[in-house]
Amino acid sequence: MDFKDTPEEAKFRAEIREWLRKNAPKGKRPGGAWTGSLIGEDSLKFHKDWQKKLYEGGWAAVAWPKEYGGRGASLMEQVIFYEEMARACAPSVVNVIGIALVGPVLIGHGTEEQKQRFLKPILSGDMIWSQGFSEPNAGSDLASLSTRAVLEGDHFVVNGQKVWTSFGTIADWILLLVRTDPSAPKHRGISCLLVDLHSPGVTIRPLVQMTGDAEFSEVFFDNVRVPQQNLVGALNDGWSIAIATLMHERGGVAVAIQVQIEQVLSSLFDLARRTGKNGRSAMEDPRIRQELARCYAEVQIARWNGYRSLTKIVKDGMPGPEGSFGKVFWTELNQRMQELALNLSGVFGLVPSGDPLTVDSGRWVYGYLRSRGNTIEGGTSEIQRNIVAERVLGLPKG
Amino acid sequence: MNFDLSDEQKMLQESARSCLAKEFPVTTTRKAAESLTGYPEELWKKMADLGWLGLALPESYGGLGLGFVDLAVVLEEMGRELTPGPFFSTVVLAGLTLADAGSAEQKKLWLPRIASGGAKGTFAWVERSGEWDGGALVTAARRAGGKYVLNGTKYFVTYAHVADFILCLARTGKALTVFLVDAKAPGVKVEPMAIMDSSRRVSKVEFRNVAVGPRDVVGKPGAGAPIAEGVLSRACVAMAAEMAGGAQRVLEMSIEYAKARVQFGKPIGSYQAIKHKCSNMILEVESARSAAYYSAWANQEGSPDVVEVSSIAKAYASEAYRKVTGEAIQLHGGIGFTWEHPLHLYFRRAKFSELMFGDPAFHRERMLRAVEKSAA
Repeated sequence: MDFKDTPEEAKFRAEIREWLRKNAPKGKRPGGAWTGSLIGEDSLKFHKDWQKKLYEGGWAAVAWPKEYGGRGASLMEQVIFYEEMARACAPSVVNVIGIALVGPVLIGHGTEEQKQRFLKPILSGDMIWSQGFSEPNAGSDLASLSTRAVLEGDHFVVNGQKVWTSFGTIADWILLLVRTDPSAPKHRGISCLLVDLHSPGVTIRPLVQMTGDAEFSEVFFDNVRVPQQNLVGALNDGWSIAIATLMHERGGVAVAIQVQIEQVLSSLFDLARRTGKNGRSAMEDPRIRQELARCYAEVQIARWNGYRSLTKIVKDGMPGPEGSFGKVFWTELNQRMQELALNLSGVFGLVPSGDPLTVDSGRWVYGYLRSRGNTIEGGTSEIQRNIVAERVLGLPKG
Repeated sequence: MNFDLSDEQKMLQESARSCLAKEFPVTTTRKAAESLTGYPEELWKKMADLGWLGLALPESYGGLGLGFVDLAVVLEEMGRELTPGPFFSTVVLAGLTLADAGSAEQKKLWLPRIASGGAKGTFAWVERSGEWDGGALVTAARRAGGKYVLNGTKYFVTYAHVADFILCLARTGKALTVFLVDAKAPGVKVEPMAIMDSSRRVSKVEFRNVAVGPRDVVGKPGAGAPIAEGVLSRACVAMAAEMAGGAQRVLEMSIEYAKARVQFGKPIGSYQAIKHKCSNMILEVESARSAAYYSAWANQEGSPDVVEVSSIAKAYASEAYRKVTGEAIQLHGGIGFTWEHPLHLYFRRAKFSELMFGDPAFHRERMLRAVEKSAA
């Protein structure tokens, strides 16, 4: 047991820290940038410029193998990368789906031609990706998806609808799960396609969520023709790719999430320090102190659980039981932190962004609303708890 | 970065688990509760033989010179079986405090005897106020010539009834000082107390005009506060490790029961109400374990965040253990509410561990103060 960097890890940390010191953007950022939101032209351009800088510095996808433009970073080095990004308050990566999900899938399952064509623009942020998995009737039960793809000559013809597509309005391409064999058992008739969202027959409708933003979209496919060479992996073998993708999502994203909740915690403490409560600073109110301390403790515990999980992945290739409930842990913790922030501000906590009376540019109003989605997207808390009970604890299926 | 036990530590874990499960399972804890001392003498002998008593004491004083993480491994296993006896008092509260702050003479006299099983010690802290804050203590040592005269009453002194010496936290003027007091010294009166956790023994200890010499001061006179902080941090981590072990055992019993118990034609573990309960239990157990081991490492390495992380571990593990044992009783239904089933022993121990050495609210405040201090 040792929580200090090894000499190699220390070297990697020094390198990224120095690069960020020279290159991380300083000064005011466009509205919405504190949430990593890409909504609005200013924010999108800001993030795209940052992505280009990361790309030029060779830091756009540290986890990818060197031959594909990454750094071949170990999991520990990825953690260090995210820790240093957070320490420098650097903006998030714009093409997160491309880098965290699509790239690794192509590196693992793609053809040589697909790798040549897609990997570089994913890294540079010139080709923004989205992920077309969920459908109106396939949420928690993803394998029951019904978007159809029929092979006609050398093209697939795609018909159907996806929903909750992140970055749909700004994306150029989509990693799409489609049903290619309706007669096969539901997990065996699914394939994975790379689809150009600028193709004829694609309609993208922004899906306005309860925050009032449209972070997600509904994507409709009406006889969309997709060249056969855009099939990833074998025909009808898409489910294993979907699972691999979700593994990437849960592994890589977990590290980035830890950084985000640490930033929320730090902003929450800042807010408490400058907020008055009952005639004194909120930091002197014993009840608020208890709540802040509880949040602080749980953020540290989330980090330690993450460290255990990473150690286990490095050694055995699989996380231990502590890796299985990470999402439930952070999403519920985040909801409590957002709520505490709003309560700290009292009635002024109700004023949204854009109003001069708002607190912290409206981030807490946004966060309070947005955090309700966290316990639903990417597997609801209920599904997560079922998975833990069945796969980790071995309880019988219902 | 590496957050895992070493191969040696895993071997220690395995041997401790099999030894305790085979020779001193929770049923022996139950029997021992009715005995005079509250633990079987052969258990103490076994711990000495296996080297557990000197595990974390320096080699120069007869110990094995291992770290707090190794100690946490053994404590976690003891937590699984609710192992009774003065291990925690003697090793964590007394032994490590002397190793940390004692004079060469005190170490030479007591540490080899602790390591060999020949001496037992404990630490007297809390008083009638029930407050763990040093400022609330009124037991005082008055200077009289070259000596001190100690007066006051301490409560919840663990295993004082079998201790050879007692470390006593007392006021010397405005400051605090830790004194090493012979348990048989004139004026020391040990009286066992009744508490709802029968797997632990605690006593009321009265000090009436007890004469102690300057050689019995642990560290320097007036330097008791930082020593007590160290005692508290180590107690927090040790208890967190025990609690993680106890909670893990209770989780295992619950899973086993949920698979075996059939109602409405199905094992109750197939119902989501039970699944979600179990899922919440493992989240709390594993998180308590992460906190216990991280803070054990921080204590071992003398990391600057020791106070902060020790209090996090204590606060979190206490609440986790209480919730997990409560849920386990609920999940077991009627059988879980019987005297015969061991669950209530864990439920009782959980509450003892939660309240001893400061409740979760106390530790959240202690943690926050440490965070503010390091940020300033």
